[in-house]
Amino acid sequence: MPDPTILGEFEQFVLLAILRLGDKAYGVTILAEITECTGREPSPGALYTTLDRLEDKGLLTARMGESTALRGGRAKRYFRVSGSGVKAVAYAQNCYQSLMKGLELPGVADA
Amino acid sequence: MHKARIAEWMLSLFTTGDRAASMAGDLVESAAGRRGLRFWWRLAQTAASLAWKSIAAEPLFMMGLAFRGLLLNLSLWFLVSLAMVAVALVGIFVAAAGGGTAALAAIPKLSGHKSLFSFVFFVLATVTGFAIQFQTGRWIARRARGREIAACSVFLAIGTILWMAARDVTLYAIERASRTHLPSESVVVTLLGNLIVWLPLLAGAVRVRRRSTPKGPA
Repeated sequence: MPDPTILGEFEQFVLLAILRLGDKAYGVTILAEITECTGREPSPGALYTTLDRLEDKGLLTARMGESTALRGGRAKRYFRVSGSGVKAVAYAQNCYQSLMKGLELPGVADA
Repeated sequence: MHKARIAEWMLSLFTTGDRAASMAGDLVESAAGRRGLRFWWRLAQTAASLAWKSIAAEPLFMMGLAFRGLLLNLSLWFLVSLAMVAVALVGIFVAAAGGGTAALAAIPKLSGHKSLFSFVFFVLATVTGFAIQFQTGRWIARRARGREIAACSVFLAIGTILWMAARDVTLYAIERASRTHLPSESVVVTLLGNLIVWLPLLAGAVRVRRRSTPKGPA
């Protein structure tokens, strides 16, 4: 079995945000979800280059959606995490859990 | 909605058409109901990130292409300078042959700032300069399909740094030789001046980009 893809921190944020959003994951909602959950507002440029990279790695799939007047008539691009994307993010989270095991950090409930 | 059209046009210089359209739509949707420069700032951020992604993917190729472009650019400028000197010499020769010493004596007067001669020379030099920059932009863009603007940005960055370094070294040498202090030009003025000179180069790259239709991720 090949090793799962190693993900960077922001790549994990993006994948987790898309998983949380389900069928409603496109640029605007992904940015809003990351901002709400992390308290950090990423730049759209960082998000789009990360989405492109994850798509190139086969961890995401994209499909074009509907366009609205609010968007100047431009179509939305919806994202979905692929099977290997789920495996990669699960692997990364397991690594974190293993490293956290036995540690007592102030403010972290599951340590 | 002109904002969306401008954003889509700008982003399509860096990525595929469908991606550019959806990114432009996202930016417009995010900026809805907000005033100020937020939309334009985020558009600039997005374009810069996409350009940087292309450069970071193959930095050595981009650097090599930029240096080859500089070599071509300098060669073209050298050839044009030679041609201009040759034309000037022919002009002097013709004037001397036609009007004798009286015509030759009139040449210093013609070289004054307000003379027709200097105006024509300025126009010709400007048009030729723009043509050289435009062709250099096209040359670079043709060798970096899908990453045309990013490749030209590397050229501009390296070209500007080298130009400023060469200018400072030359000024230093003149100051040492003449034992005088020359007034220094601010960096902002130099960068703005360079921007005007480099605009035709970007126009050349945009023309190549517009004529090619990227099929994969850029």
